[in-house]
Amino acid sequence: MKYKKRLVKIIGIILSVAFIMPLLSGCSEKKDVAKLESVLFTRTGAVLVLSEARDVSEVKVADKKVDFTQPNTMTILASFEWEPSKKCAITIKSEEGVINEETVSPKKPSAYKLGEAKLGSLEKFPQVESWKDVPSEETIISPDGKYIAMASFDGKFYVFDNAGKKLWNYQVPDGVGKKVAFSGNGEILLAGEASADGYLYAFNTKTGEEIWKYKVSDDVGTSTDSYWYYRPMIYSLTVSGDTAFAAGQLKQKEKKMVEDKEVTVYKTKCFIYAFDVESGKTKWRFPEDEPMDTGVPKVVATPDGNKVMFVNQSWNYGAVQEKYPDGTIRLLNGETGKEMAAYKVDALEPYFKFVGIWDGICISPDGNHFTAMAGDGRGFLFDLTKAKETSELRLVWMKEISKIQEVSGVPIYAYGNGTHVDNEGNAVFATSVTYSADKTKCSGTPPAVHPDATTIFAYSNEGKLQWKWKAEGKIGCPLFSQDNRYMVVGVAHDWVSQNKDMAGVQCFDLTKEGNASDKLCWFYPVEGICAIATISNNGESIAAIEAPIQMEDKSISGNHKIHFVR
Amino acid sequence: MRKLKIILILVLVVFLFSGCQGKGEKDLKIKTVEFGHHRAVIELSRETPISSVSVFDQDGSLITTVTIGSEVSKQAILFFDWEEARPYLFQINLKNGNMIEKEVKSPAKPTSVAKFCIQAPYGMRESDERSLVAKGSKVTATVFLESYSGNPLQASVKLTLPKEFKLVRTPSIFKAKETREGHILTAECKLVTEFDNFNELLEFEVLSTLAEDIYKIEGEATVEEIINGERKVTQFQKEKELRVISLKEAKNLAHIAGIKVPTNDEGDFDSRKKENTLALSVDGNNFLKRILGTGNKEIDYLEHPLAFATTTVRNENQDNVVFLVTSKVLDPKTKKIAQAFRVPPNKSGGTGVSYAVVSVPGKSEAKATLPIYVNEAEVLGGKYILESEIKIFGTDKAISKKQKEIDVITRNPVPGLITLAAFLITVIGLGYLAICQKAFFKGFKTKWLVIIALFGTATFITVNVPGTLLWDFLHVILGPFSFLITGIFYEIILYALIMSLVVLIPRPGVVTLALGVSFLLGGVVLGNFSPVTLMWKASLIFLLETTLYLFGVTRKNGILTDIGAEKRWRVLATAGIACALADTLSVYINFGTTIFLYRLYYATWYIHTYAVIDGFLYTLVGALVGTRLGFSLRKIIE
Repeated sequence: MKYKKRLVKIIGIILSVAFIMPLLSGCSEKKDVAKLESVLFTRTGAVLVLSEARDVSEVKVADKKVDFTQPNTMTILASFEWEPSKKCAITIKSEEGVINEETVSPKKPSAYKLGEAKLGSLEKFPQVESWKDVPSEETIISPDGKYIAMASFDGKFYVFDNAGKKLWNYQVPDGVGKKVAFSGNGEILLAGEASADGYLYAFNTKTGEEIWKYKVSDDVGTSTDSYWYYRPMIYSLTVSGDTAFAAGQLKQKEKKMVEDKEVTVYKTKCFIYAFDVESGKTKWRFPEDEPMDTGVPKVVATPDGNKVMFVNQSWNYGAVQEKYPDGTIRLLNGETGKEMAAYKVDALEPYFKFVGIWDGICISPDGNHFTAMAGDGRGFLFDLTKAKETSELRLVWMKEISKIQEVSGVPIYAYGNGTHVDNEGNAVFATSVTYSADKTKCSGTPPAVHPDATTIFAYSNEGKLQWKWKAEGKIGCPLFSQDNRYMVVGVAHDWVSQNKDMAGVQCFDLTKEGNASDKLCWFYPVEGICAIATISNNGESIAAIEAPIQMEDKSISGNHKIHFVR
Repeated sequence: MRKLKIILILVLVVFLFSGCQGKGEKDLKIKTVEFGHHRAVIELSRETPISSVSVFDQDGSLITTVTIGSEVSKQAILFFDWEEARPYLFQINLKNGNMIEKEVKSPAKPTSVAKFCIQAPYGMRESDERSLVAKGSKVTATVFLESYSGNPLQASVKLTLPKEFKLVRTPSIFKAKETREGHILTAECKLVTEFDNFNELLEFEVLSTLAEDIYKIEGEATVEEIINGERKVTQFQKEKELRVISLKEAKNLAHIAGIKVPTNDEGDFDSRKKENTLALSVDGNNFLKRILGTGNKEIDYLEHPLAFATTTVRNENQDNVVFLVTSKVLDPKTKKIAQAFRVPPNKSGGTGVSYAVVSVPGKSEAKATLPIYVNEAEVLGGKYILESEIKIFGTDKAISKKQKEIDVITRNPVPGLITLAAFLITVIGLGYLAICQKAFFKGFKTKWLVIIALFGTATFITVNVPGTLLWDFLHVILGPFSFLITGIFYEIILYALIMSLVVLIPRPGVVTLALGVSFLLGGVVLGNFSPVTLMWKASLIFLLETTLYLFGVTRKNGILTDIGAEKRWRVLATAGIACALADTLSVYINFGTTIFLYRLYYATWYIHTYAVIDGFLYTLVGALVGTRLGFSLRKIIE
């Protein structure tokens, strides 16, 4: 009997504890009051994460109302200016109640990952010990910051909203997506492909409905070559106001007898077009009749569309006489398409037989300055203020941004890649990775990273070095917010050091005093490599494309995806 | 019992509070934190999904947070200005909601205000204290000073080179002075911002008369910065040793172990190709492709090299050495670069040769695969010399050279011409037969046509059928020498039948009809019908008819008219030689069309052997037998 009583007692204790345990265990949380789970200070404000879903009606910081958006019911993106290491009182109002929280801002802002979207698989992607096969894709954010478009090497055009949700995609029939650009009001997306037809499309941004299209192959011919580079394509695309400027070209390789010698030449046909964004009507075409016999990797234009500039590019190395020689910078009247001025840059002999200006051109918004970055590492600043009157592009200065090092007869250099110029003529130049001149797959790896490789240089309009930043990986073209305050760079791997530690997005606030390290807001690493990153006009949204990369042990690091970052 | 209660309660208490303890990652921890220039690099014990990494100051205030965009990470880099000898708390926020942290004290000394280094020769690793140089070499060295300061730096650099070295190329920024210690080079510069650098190449010669010894290059850099009005000076010193060795010793330490040609761009030798032979591809000047306008669509970033040569470099040194490997094709007579093999100007970086930079670890080998370019319009077939050379990168002296004799086989226009001729003969012949059918058959009596048809059929049965059936089998056993057996059918028996028919009916057209019947039967029954076979047969018919007519065998009142006993040998010899000549020529035509249309390669000696044995000898024997037989048959008929 005694034992029975004791047994009953013990069972009773166990049952009580079993009832109480779930209530008292550390795993359970009291859910009766929502609170501010975390605060992450970004460049343009803060990301407030709630412990519970709420439809927020008002957000105040230091008793001042601030603008905000809610990508989801637990996250608030608040926009406000803040100072480092300062107390910050945050008030969040919703129907359910008010949340008050006091926090201290950090010394530096952070990146906030809004989301990501997986993209289709790539036919080719890079290896860490090689410079090849970094996909030449593009992403762009609409002027109002609401939409993000992408031209992908998986053969699609994509449009996402600024929370990272895919709205629609378009499959390029047998080709790759090459270029995208938004109309001034963001309602139309222009998209250019590399395919047998070489179409330029205009889509409704929200719905993806095709509004018009133009077939470049009707003008330059067609090709069904397996490699996209040898197909008709929209090689460059930019929009100014109601006009879209595009370079449509076809480049093909063939053997030709030149002075009794057989040489390989790149037969090219290229036109620059001006289309009405709404209707697709061709406003003008340059040249009017016969196409240029060299290619145009990039076209730039002032926001008012009055000035259009580009540089001719050729791989023929002077083997054949060209009507539009490699390295010629041209200025067109944006209204009429007539050439106003030209400037021929000569190849840096004996090291190079080509000039190699690719993505490295930029025109200032007021159209008074132009910069170019040659592949050999030379940077140029031009004054365009009197170009119309004089029909000349006045060279202000030329600098060897990165010096060629000739070692055992082999020129080693840091490839010149990108540039930017503001209305005052202050210029930014970017170098890519280290190469040996005329490299082939068999040339081997240079023994050391060039001292000026993977570097961003900022110069004043007088040519004085202001600051310098080593990205430690292959740089895509640096892109800027409209007010030139923020600069973002997509960074890939460095094939010489076989390092991808700095692969990702590097974001700078150029209004910060001091050196580049002081201007660096944050570094957002990705698992693979980042070939391109872009920023919205207002500087708030950033999109970055990640590509996978094969490492030394043959493992694949990363995925093909797009990141949406604040 | 009381004890039992206490134990039970304790156990329950443990259960009660176990849920409140954080579920830590047992094996996951912050392995190292390295402080560098404006950054800290955190390494974890293993790869793990991380959402963000934060760093807090000693007062608990948040300095910065890095959001991680990777699925998994093992490393994180945080950029922030850290102070010396200060504790920082690093917090890793995992994707599963957990967190690990570690407090780490920053180094007592700040990171250096600048980085100074010397590479002699260029490309040597910073960790390498000593490098090798062969006597008589010109060495390219680099002096590098980079600022890590937020303030402008006034810098001076001083380089002392042994007096035994001879300065070859000095940048204009340097002032040179000769002293007892050696050559002293000094330069002043201003590094205006962080990462601004002083970077200069210079070249000096290690004279061939120099003693084999270790020589030192000393470098000094002094940087001054003004911090809050105060001048701060930092000095750097670097020393690099150059071990000067003889060329002979250099060759022992590093040499070319071998050259393989032709290979693909990965360095793999194709065993189907002949070693040390470069055969010009037909694609580049393919006549048909040009006519059809299809052209060459090959995507070849390497600008269509004809082939590749792979050089194996052996490094017997203990340390890693970077080599420059070059390759060129020389004219054996002049010993200079053969004109047709000049590297395109856009593929040599101005060096004029194919080159590759290859890093070879100590006591090991590495391969350098170099393209061989050729101007197909200029190149002549024949023997050339492929020469590979290696230099220590940053020097100009070749320490090892190896040559290899190679054969260059160019395209031969003869097969194309032969094919064209065969094609024309076929077209004209068929056209003539089609248009002038009546005229052709007019001269033939019906009984002759019957005899011809019978002989044609007999030819099909005794020649085509066994030949076709045995062809594949014999090819397996005897390979390319199967003609020694099949020739018995296709030459001896064939000509025995043909010539016996010609003796019976000595007139033009007999051979045409007989071989035509045999060909048609072979095509219909055995499927032996192809453009090449048609062209070959048509050529053979044309040649036989021609030689037999020219030699008087099928001519009216020819040698087969009124054959006396004394004339028989003459007739036999004439007929035999006529047939042998015709068939020998047809052998060459057959090879020509096959080479051109099927893009095959045959050794010249093989073609001649085939023509002599199969085309001439066997045919001669068959023709003699057939003529003899024909005499006997003629007697019976008469």
